[in-house]
Amino acid sequence: MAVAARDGKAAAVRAPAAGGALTRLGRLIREVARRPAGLFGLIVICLLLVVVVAAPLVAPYSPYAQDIVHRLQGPSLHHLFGTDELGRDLLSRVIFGARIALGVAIPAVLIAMFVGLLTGLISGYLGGGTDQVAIVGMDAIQAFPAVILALALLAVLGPSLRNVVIVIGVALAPGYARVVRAMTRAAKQNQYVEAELSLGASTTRIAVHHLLPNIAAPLFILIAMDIPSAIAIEAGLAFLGLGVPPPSPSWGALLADGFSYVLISPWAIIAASAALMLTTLGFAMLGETLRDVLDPKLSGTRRRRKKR
Amino acid sequence: MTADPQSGPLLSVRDLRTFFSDRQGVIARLLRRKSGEVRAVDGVSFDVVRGETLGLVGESGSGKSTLARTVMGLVPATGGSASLDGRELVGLRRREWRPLRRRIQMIFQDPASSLSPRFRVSFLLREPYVINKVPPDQQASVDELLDMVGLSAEQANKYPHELSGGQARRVSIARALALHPEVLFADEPTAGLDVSAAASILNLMRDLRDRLGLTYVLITHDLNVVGYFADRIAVMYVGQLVEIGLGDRILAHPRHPYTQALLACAPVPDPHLNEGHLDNVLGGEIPSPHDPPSGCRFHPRCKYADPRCTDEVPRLEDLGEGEMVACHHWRRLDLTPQPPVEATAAAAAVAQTTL
Amino acid sequence: MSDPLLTVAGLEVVYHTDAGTLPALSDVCFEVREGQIVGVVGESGCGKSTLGAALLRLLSPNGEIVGGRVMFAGRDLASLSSGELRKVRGRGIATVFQDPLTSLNPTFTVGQQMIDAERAHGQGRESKDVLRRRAIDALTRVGIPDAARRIRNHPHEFSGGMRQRIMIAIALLHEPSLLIADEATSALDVTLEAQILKLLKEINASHGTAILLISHNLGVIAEVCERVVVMYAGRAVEEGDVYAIFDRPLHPYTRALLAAVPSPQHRGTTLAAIPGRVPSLLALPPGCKYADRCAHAVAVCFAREPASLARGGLRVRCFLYDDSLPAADKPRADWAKAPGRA
Repeated sequence: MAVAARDGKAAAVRAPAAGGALTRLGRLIREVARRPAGLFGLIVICLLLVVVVAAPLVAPYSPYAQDIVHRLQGPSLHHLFGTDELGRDLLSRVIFGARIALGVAIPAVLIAMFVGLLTGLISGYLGGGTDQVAIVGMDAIQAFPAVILALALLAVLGPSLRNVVIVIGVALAPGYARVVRAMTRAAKQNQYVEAELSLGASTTRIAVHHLLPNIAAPLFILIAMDIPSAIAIEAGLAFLGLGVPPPSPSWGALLADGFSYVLISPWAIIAASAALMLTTLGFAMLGETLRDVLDPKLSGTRRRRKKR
Repeated sequence: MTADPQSGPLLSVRDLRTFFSDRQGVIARLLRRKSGEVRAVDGVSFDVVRGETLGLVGESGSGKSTLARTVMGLVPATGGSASLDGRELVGLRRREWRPLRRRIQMIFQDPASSLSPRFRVSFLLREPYVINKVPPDQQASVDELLDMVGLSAEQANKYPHELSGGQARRVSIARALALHPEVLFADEPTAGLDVSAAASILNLMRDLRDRLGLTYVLITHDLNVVGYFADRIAVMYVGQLVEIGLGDRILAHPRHPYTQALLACAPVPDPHLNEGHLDNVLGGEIPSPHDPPSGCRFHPRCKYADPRCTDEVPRLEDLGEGEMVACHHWRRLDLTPQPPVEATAAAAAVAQTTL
Repeated sequence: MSDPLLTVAGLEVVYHTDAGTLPALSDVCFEVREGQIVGVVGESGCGKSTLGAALLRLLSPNGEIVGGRVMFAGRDLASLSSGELRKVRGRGIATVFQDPLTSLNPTFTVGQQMIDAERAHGQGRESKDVLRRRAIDALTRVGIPDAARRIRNHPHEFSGGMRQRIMIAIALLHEPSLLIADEATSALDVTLEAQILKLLKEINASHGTAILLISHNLGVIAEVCERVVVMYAGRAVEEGDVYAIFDRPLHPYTRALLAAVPSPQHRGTTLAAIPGRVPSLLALPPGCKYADRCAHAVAVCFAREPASLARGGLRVRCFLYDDSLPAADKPRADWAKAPGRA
């Protein structure tokens, strides 16, 4: 069609790009990489993924190999980040720590998303009593700060990798449920939902085929933004001694150990917090860029585009 | 067109009611004693015979879209009945509805938003068959469906946002017709379309009516469109029918003052007919169905209203031959549109002498 | 008749987009005299809203006026500083859009917004009571009952028709000499539309406010306008007196547009829909923009663009009326085969 003069008309239809899912993904990545923050996020996350996958190859030592003689050393050619109080190579521990950070954060966020998606879809689509029960449940969970809730649950369940994942998942789920519920309620207003109903489509078909695709984009953004939160919670729990049990090299545990010896050698703290900061920043920047690219209405700063 | 005595009406609606309760949250409900009721459709009855087009007109808020949604089973009816060829539609379960969906279909108002945005036209056109598990030998191909509504085969690969308003509307029509329905509700089929696109959609609907023997219920606020397209016209006001009858008769000799007012407001693309046209504009606004006026619901805006209209609800009087009107005074009013200048004087005279 | 209040001469507007530069308006010329109601009509994408926005330099950021002049009350609007332009907006020219809800701030009462609007145009020194009284007067004038009380309500407490009246009241606060109504009645029901049109006509009669009414609805245009500009693909293809346009339209597009309107008189006949679609601004044909939908088009129509000609009291852009063409090259007016009134 011809050009729309007023923004109302132009903004009305923001649509999926033509072409298959792969080309769309390619275009999305290119669009993200064009922005400095997005490029930074992408590079950090790619590096992180490489390190996680190839940890045994990249790490110069085993993260558990003790060398009491060379404990609490500063950076040197042998130990780029120095060593900890048991003489373990900090670089290797940070590298293997990334495995724990992502190994906890990604499953936890996926659990949160899955639980939240289901709750949000059901409560948003059905409304009424179901909706009210779901809201009360979400409010109850969200009334506690995530870390406090996780602490309390872990105190009951006992610290283990699996429990940490579950607990973080539960703490984050209401965020997804709320977003999905709000999006579902909005999407439900669209006339095509009624059109599908009048063709005889089932509730499940409408939810899966017609509502889900329209709420997927904000979920990706939320995932990218929540992974750093999950990493931070995990580190916090580990710092308090309730996370993945030692001797696993969780970044939080590195911080806690380093904290005890901070007056002798600050390198453990520096290495672990640098890793935490870089990872968090990377995911946060990717998340924000994704938001700008996928949902320009939210950022408001983006140059307005005309429809074709 | 009147009911064929042998077959009876194809679609028959009797005293259909759709009320929405404006339910509040828990606390608001505790604080307030009663929750209100919105009587969106309040006792509507009409018949549609096979092959005819019934035009349903009224302002927004008159309940005409809710009426269609209720008949289609998208909104639960509070009471009354709607039957398709003798089969009751009100109160059916989703499973019982399924075979009937193939006989009665609806196209929705907004051409842009009535197609699911993430799917190509080809998917959307196959969907009616997938949903209703239609055996392949009874399916029309995507190309056939596109061709039926005057679209070329390459439109099949497009997404809804790549279509113009008129094309999107055609796809909606094709989707509804894929199941070979007998009755098609068309909710504002020309709304949001340009003059020329609207004309070609009406042409298409006319052509499909002739070829497939479709029965339409055409919902619109545009009197030019009903006047062009509908055999019979039903006029709704705040959830109730005020007048129903043959299209030609209603346009030439409206019986209900509201019908007359609607006709007087319709803009005509002819500057000669418009002189003094705006002098008779209907004042006020349609009241909320939440709290409808007493007596005749139109009385606060009606220039012929008298105390009786405030107190007593007018009955929908059956004049035979499918003609009905709900007005205490219709026999005494001559509402035939006249040249504008005399119309005011004549109306004033009528008002004085008869009321 | 009086002097031209607004003169648009050769106006050219483009939009810069990723896909290229789109010529949204090209060589648009018309004028609005004092106290006149002029209608701009055309299908979506014809540039009528761009025209309304360009007059007040309210184009979206990627729009640009690249040629022509807009003279308002003897001044070239293009040469005004943003401060002077602000004075013209509101005091000289006011605008009413289709959707009043997006033009009103939902968090403030109508009264607050009206007083703010008065202050924005240098009436800040007057006391709030004076401003409020003026706002109440303005609301009463546009037919809002019980304005003194209603002024304390928020926009969502008004119906669509009432909100549009409020927008008109705000637009009229500074007694502009020109009111641009861009599809101001399109979202309303027929009865409310008629009420608003009546109001516009009354304002025009009592205050002498000239009105530029932009609409896609030929009925609305015929109802209130004295002069009509028919737009197609960013061009004013025909312009003139409303009776001439509706009785004796010259341009094949105007004729086709009029013939496509359904009415009870057409019952049982096929409506004369115009074949094809409005061309995309990305790929405008070189010649007459209407040529590929026009039943009269001949070689010359596809080759070059017709100039605007004065014929029978109208200005029309069509080679049918270009007598400078040799008879052999000229398209012939065979209305029988074209959509349109005989």
